[in-house]
Amino acid sequence: MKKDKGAYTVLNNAALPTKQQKEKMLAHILSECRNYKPSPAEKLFRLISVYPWRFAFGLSTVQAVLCTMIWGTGYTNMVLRILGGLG
Amino acid sequence: MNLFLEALNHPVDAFRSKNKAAAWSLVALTILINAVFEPLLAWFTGSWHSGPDIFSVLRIALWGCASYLAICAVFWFFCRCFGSRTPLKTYLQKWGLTFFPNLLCSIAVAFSENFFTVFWNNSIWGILLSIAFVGILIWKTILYIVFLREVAGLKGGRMLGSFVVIGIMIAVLAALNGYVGLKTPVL
Repeated sequence: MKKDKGAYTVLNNAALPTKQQKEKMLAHILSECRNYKPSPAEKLFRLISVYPWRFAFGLSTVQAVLCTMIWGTGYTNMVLRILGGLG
Repeated sequence: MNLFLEALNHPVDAFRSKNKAAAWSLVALTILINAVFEPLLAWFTGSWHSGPDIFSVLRIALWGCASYLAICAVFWFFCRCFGSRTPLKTYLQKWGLTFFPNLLCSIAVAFSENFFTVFWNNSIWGILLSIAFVGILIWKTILYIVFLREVAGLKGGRMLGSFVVIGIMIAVLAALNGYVGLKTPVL
């Protein structure tokens, strides 16, 4: 029985990749990784989807300051009326 | 706590991992603020409102739960039409992870409604509140897009189509929410 086990181990070992083959596989994977370039849309998606509140409140600050500079309290009152449940 | 931080900062990872406890507690908190905190604040500010009664609290809480179930069903139905294979259960367990903006909005609405004399015609408070409200709206939209991509698994034209159709349904449901007395839509 023990002998049989030994025979199986030999077979198993023969099926495994050698050290050289492993190195080759690793080099192949690494070169593939280097070739992969995310598209600009994908990059933007990743940038926005991590810490989404950062982007949201940043953009919101810009619009609030600009629009209030142009229309004054008329604009802020409008936002309060529509989104703040007033009026 | 980590589950909440993940939902707050890394929604893509949060959608991939299992944390329905965080999702449902966010929804429950939003409903509680709508049903209990807002009427209490109105009562304390001494306006013409009478104190919150148990029936109105229960009614609003039930409408909140119904609204959450309705939006999940809408997601399931329309995403299925656009080719998604995600089951209804997954939407129920994961849409709640997008409720941070709703939670903030319900608090902001409670204050802006009850202290409107302070904020009305005041440019500094006006700017701060418009940053908050518009920011919350943009944040929720980002989470909505990430949700369609990650949970429903839709991409390209299919995602755009479902974004528009479900967006219309969200607007309709938000109007219904307002009609039944939910000041912040539980959507």
